[in-house]
Amino acid sequence: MAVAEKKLQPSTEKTEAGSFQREESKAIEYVPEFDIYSDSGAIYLEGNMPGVDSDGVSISVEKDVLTISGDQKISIPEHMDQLYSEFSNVFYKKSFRLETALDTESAEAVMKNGVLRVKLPFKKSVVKNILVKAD
Amino acid sequence: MYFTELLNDLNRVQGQLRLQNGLWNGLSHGSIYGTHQSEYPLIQIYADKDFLTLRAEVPGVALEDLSITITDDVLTLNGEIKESIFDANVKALRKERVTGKFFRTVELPYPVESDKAEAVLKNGLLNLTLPIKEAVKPRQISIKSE
Repeated sequence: MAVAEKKLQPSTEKTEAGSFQREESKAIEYVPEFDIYSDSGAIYLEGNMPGVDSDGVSISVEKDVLTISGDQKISIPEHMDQLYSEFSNVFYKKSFRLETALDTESAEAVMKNGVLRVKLPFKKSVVKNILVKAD
Repeated sequence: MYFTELLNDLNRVQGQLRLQNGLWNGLSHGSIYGTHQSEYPLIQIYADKDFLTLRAEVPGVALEDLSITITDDVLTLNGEIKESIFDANVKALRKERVTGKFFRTVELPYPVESDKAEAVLKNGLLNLTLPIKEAVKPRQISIKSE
Protein backbone atom coordinates (compact mmCIF):
# COMPACT_ATOMS: atom_id res chain seq x y z
CA MET A 1 0.00 0.00 0.00
CA ALA A 2 2.67 2.42 1.05
CA VAL A 3 4.75 1.60 -2.00
CA ALA A 4 1.83 2.16 -4.32
CA GLU A 5 1.16 5.55 -2.80
CA LYS A 6 4.69 6.62 -3.37
CA LYS A 7 4.51 5.79 -7.06
CA LEU A 8 1.61 8.17 -7.50
CA GLN A 9 3.72 11.10 -6.40
CA PRO A 10 5.61 12.76 -9.23
CA SER A 11 9.21 12.04 -8.42
CA THR A 12 11.12 15.27 -8.34
CA GLU A 13 14.34 13.56 -7.39
CA LYS A 14 15.03 12.93 -11.05
CA THR A 15 14.53 16.58 -11.92
CA GLU A 16 18.17 17.50 -11.57
CA ALA A 17 19.34 14.56 -13.63
CA GLY A 18 18.39 16.15 -16.93
CA SER A 19 14.72 15.33 -17.30
CA PHE A 20 13.78 18.91 -16.49
CA GLN A 21 11.30 19.42 -19.31
CA ARG A 22 9.26 16.37 -18.49
CA GLU A 23 9.12 17.15 -14.79
CA GLU A 24 8.27 20.77 -15.38
CA SER A 25 5.21 19.87 -17.40
CA LYS A 26 4.04 17.67 -14.51
CA ALA A 27 4.11 20.43 -11.92
CA ILE A 28 0.90 22.36 -11.43
CA GLU A 29 1.02 25.98 -12.49
CA TYR A 30 0.32 28.36 -9.65
CA VAL A 31 0.00 32.15 -9.64
CA PRO A 32 1.98 33.36 -6.61
CA GLU A 33 0.81 36.19 -4.34
CA PHE A 34 2.63 39.44 -5.07
CA ASP A 35 2.70 42.86 -3.44
CA ILE A 36 3.39 45.95 -5.53
CA TYR A 37 4.98 49.05 -4.05
CA SER A 38 6.28 52.26 -5.59
CA ASP A 39 8.09 55.46 -4.79
CA SER A 40 9.29 58.28 -7.00
CA GLY A 41 12.19 56.23 -8.28
CA ALA A 42 10.99 52.68 -8.81
CA ILE A 43 8.34 49.99 -8.70
CA TYR A 44 8.94 47.11 -6.28
CA LEU A 45 7.43 43.65 -6.64
CA GLU A 46 7.45 41.18 -3.77
CA GLY A 47 6.14 37.68 -4.09
CA ASN A 48 5.90 34.37 -2.24
CA MET A 49 7.81 31.63 -3.98
CA PRO A 50 8.70 29.11 -1.26
CA GLY A 51 10.92 26.25 -2.35
CA VAL A 52 12.58 28.21 -5.14
CA ASP A 53 16.20 29.31 -4.84
CA SER A 54 17.75 32.28 -6.63
CA ASP A 55 18.95 30.08 -9.51
CA GLY A 56 15.48 28.69 -10.03
CA VAL A 57 13.78 32.03 -10.73
CA SER A 58 13.45 33.44 -14.19
CA ILE A 59 12.40 37.01 -14.92
CA SER A 60 11.77 38.01 -18.51
CA VAL A 61 10.41 41.07 -20.30
CA GLU A 62 8.68 40.93 -23.64
CA LYS A 63 7.39 44.21 -24.99
CA ASP A 64 5.42 45.58 -22.01
CA VAL A 65 4.88 42.28 -20.16
CA LEU A 66 7.17 41.16 -17.34
CA THR A 67 6.93 37.48 -16.48
CA ILE A 68 8.26 35.89 -13.32
CA SER A 69 8.48 32.13 -13.12
CA GLY A 70 10.10 29.49 -10.96
CA ASP A 71 9.98 25.79 -10.35
CA GLN A 72 9.34 24.53 -6.83
CA LYS A 73 11.48 21.44 -6.61
CA ILE A 74 10.62 19.68 -3.41
CA SER A 75 11.84 16.14 -3.52
CA ILE A 76 10.27 13.37 -1.50
CA PRO A 77 12.72 12.34 1.25
CA GLU A 78 14.50 9.14 0.27
CA HIS A 79 12.87 5.87 1.34
CA MET A 80 10.00 7.73 2.94
CA ASP A 81 6.27 7.47 2.39
CA GLN A 82 4.02 10.45 2.23
CA LEU A 83 1.47 10.32 5.03
CA TYR A 84 -0.17 13.67 4.61
CA SER A 85 0.09 16.57 2.20
CA GLU A 86 -1.53 19.97 1.85
CA PHE A 87 0.65 21.15 -1.00
CA SER A 88 2.41 19.61 -3.95
CA ASN A 89 5.10 20.84 -6.31
CA VAL A 90 4.05 23.82 -8.34
CA PHE A 91 5.40 25.87 -11.20
CA TYR A 92 5.05 29.53 -10.20
CA LYS A 93 4.17 31.91 -12.98
CA LYS A 94 2.90 35.46 -12.91
CA SER A 95 2.87 38.20 -15.51
CA PHE A 96 2.66 41.94 -15.01
CA ARG A 97 1.81 44.53 -17.64
CA LEU A 98 4.19 47.44 -17.32
CA GLU A 99 2.24 50.60 -17.88
CA THR A 100 4.83 53.20 -17.10
CA ALA A 101 8.15 53.49 -18.81
CA LEU A 102 10.38 51.30 -16.64
CA ASP A 103 14.07 50.75 -17.06
CA THR A 104 14.03 46.96 -17.12
CA GLU A 105 17.72 46.93 -18.11
CA SER A 106 18.72 48.09 -14.64
CA ALA A 107 16.21 45.96 -12.74
CA GLU A 108 17.45 44.20 -9.60
CA ALA A 109 16.11 41.03 -8.02
CA VAL A 110 16.82 39.36 -4.69
CA MET A 111 15.50 36.07 -3.35
CA LYS A 112 15.32 35.76 0.42
CA ASN A 113 13.44 33.27 2.61
CA GLY A 114 11.34 32.17 -0.34
CA VAL A 115 10.27 35.73 -1.16
CA LEU A 116 11.32 37.33 -4.44
CA ARG A 117 11.88 41.08 -4.46
CA VAL A 118 12.27 42.88 -7.78
CA LYS A 119 13.15 46.53 -8.17
CA LEU A 120 12.21 48.17 -11.47
CA PRO A 121 13.50 51.75 -11.70
CA PHE A 122 11.56 54.31 -13.72
CA LYS A 123 13.22 55.45 -16.92
CA LYS A 124 15.02 58.70 -16.32
CA SER A 125 13.42 61.28 -18.53
CA VAL A 126 15.97 63.20 -20.50
CA VAL A 127 15.37 66.89 -20.24
CA LYS A 128 16.21 68.61 -23.50
CA ASN A 129 16.39 72.34 -23.63
CA ILE A 130 15.67 73.90 -27.00
CA LEU A 131 17.34 77.14 -27.51
CA VAL A 132 15.22 79.85 -28.93
CA LYS A 133 17.17 82.16 -31.09
CA ALA A 134 16.22 85.73 -31.69
CA ASP A 135 15.61 86.37 -35.30
CA MET B 1 -4.78 15.85 -13.41
CA TYR B 2 -7.32 18.64 -13.62
CA PHE B 3 -8.79 17.59 -10.30
CA THR B 4 -5.40 17.60 -8.57
CA GLU B 5 -4.83 21.07 -9.94
CA LEU B 6 -8.12 22.29 -8.53
CA LEU B 7 -7.50 20.63 -5.19
CA ASN B 8 -4.07 22.18 -4.94
CA ASP B 9 -5.41 25.67 -5.68
CA LEU B 10 -8.23 25.14 -3.21
CA ASN B 11 -5.82 24.05 -0.48
CA ARG B 12 -3.72 27.13 -0.97
CA VAL B 13 -6.66 29.50 -0.99
CA GLN B 14 -8.00 27.77 2.11
CA GLY B 15 -4.65 28.15 3.83
CA GLN B 16 -4.54 31.85 3.04
CA LEU B 17 -8.13 32.38 4.19
CA ARG B 18 -7.54 30.50 7.41
CA LEU B 19 -4.53 32.63 8.13
CA GLN B 20 -6.51 35.80 7.54
CA ASN B 21 -9.43 34.56 9.62
CA GLY B 22 -7.16 33.28 12.35
CA LEU B 23 -5.41 36.58 12.56
CA TRP B 24 -8.64 38.50 12.64
CA ASN B 25 -10.03 36.40 15.48
CA GLY B 26 -6.74 36.68 17.26
CA LEU B 27 -6.77 40.43 17.10
CA SER B 28 -10.41 40.75 18.06
CA HIS B 29 -9.76 38.67 21.17
CA GLY B 30 -6.81 40.78 22.09
CA SER B 31 -4.43 37.86 22.21
CA ILE B 32 -1.30 37.38 20.23
CA TYR B 33 -2.01 33.88 19.00
CA GLY B 34 -5.77 34.06 19.00
CA THR B 35 -8.22 31.55 20.27
CA HIS B 36 -8.89 29.93 16.93
CA GLN B 37 -6.47 27.54 15.40
CA SER B 38 -5.50 28.67 11.94
CA GLU B 39 -4.33 26.05 9.53
CA TYR B 40 -1.37 27.93 8.29
CA PRO B 41 1.29 27.16 7.23
CA LEU B 42 0.53 24.33 4.81
CA ILE B 43 2.34 21.14 5.73
CA GLN B 44 3.46 17.77 4.43
CA ILE B 45 4.31 14.72 6.57
CA TYR B 46 6.54 11.86 5.49
CA ALA B 47 7.69 8.81 7.41
CA ASP B 48 9.83 5.72 7.33
CA LYS B 49 10.39 3.30 10.20
CA ASP B 50 12.87 5.54 12.03
CA PHE B 51 11.97 9.12 11.18
CA LEU B 52 9.14 11.53 10.59
CA THR B 53 9.70 14.46 8.26
CA LEU B 54 7.47 17.49 8.45
CA ARG B 55 7.64 20.21 5.86
CA ALA B 56 5.96 23.58 5.95
CA GLU B 57 5.76 26.46 3.47
CA VAL B 58 6.74 29.59 5.37
CA PRO B 59 7.72 32.23 2.79
CA GLY B 60 8.93 35.49 4.28
CA VAL B 61 9.53 34.06 7.74
CA ALA B 62 13.01 34.77 9.07
CA LEU B 63 14.83 32.22 11.21
CA GLU B 64 14.57 34.37 14.32
CA ASP B 65 10.80 34.75 13.84
CA LEU B 66 10.04 31.04 13.90
CA SER B 67 9.80 28.74 16.90
CA ILE B 68 8.97 25.06 17.10
CA THR B 69 7.91 23.18 20.20
CA ILE B 70 7.16 19.50 20.60
CA THR B 71 5.29 17.86 23.45
CA ASP B 72 5.09 14.11 22.99
CA ASP B 73 3.23 13.85 19.70
CA VAL B 74 2.00 17.43 19.38
CA LEU B 75 4.10 19.87 17.41
CA THR B 76 3.51 23.60 17.50
CA LEU B 77 4.76 26.07 14.93
CA ASN B 78 4.84 29.69 16.00
CA GLY B 79 5.93 32.47 13.76
CA GLU B 80 5.54 35.83 12.20
CA ILE B 81 5.60 37.02 8.62
CA LYS B 82 6.88 40.55 8.98
CA GLU B 83 5.95 43.43 6.72
CA SER B 84 8.74 44.51 4.41
CA ILE B 85 10.58 47.57 5.54
CA PHE B 86 10.60 50.37 3.03
CA ASP B 87 11.25 54.10 3.25
CA ALA B 88 8.35 56.26 4.37
CA ASN B 89 7.74 57.57 0.85
CA VAL B 90 7.15 54.08 -0.58
CA LYS B 91 3.45 53.41 -1.15
CA ALA B 92 1.72 50.07 -1.47
CA LEU B 93 -0.22 49.79 -4.73
CA ARG B 94 -1.43 46.22 -4.30
CA LYS B 95 -1.19 43.70 -1.49
CA GLU B 96 -1.74 40.00 -1.96
CA ARG B 97 0.72 38.56 0.55
CA VAL B 98 -0.53 37.94 4.05
CA THR B 99 1.56 39.18 6.96
CA GLY B 100 1.28 38.78 10.69
CA LYS B 101 1.62 36.22 13.44
CA PHE B 102 0.57 32.63 13.04
CA PHE B 103 0.54 29.40 14.97
CA ARG B 104 -0.40 25.87 14.14
CA THR B 105 -0.46 22.70 16.15
CA VAL B 106 -0.04 19.38 14.41
CA GLU B 107 -0.77 16.01 15.96
CA LEU B 108 2.03 13.76 14.81
CA PRO B 109 1.25 10.17 13.85
CA TYR B 110 3.88 8.88 16.34
CA PRO B 111 5.51 10.22 19.50
CA VAL B 112 8.99 11.54 18.65
CA GLU B 113 12.32 12.13 20.37
CA SER B 114 11.93 15.89 20.58
CA ASP B 115 15.47 16.48 21.86
CA LYS B 116 16.91 14.88 18.75
CA ALA B 117 14.76 16.83 16.31
CA GLU B 118 16.47 18.77 13.55
CA ALA B 119 15.04 21.76 11.76
CA VAL B 120 16.29 23.47 8.61
CA LEU B 121 14.82 26.62 7.10
CA LYS B 122 15.74 27.17 3.46
CA ASN B 123 14.09 29.19 0.68
CA GLY B 124 10.95 29.66 2.74
CA LEU B 125 10.57 25.95 3.41
CA LEU B 126 10.87 24.44 6.86
CA ASN B 127 12.17 20.90 6.96
CA LEU B 128 11.87 19.08 10.28
CA THR B 129 13.39 15.68 10.91
CA LEU B 130 11.97 13.93 13.95
CA PRO B 131 13.24 10.55 15.19
CA ILE B 132 10.37 8.24 16.15
CA LYS B 133 10.46 7.06 19.78
CA GLU B 134 11.96 3.59 20.18
CA ALA B 135 9.02 2.45 22.28
CA VAL B 136 6.54 2.82 19.43
CA LYS B 137 8.66 1.30 16.68
CA PRO B 138 7.50 -2.08 15.41
CA ARG B 139 9.45 -4.85 17.08
CA GLN B 140 10.29 -8.25 15.73
CA ILE B 141 9.41 -11.04 18.14
CA SER B 142 11.47 -14.12 17.71
CA ILE B 143 9.65 -17.40 17.97
CA LYS B 144 11.38 -20.28 19.65
CA SER B 145 10.61 -23.83 18.75
CA GLU B 146 10.08 -26.14 21.65
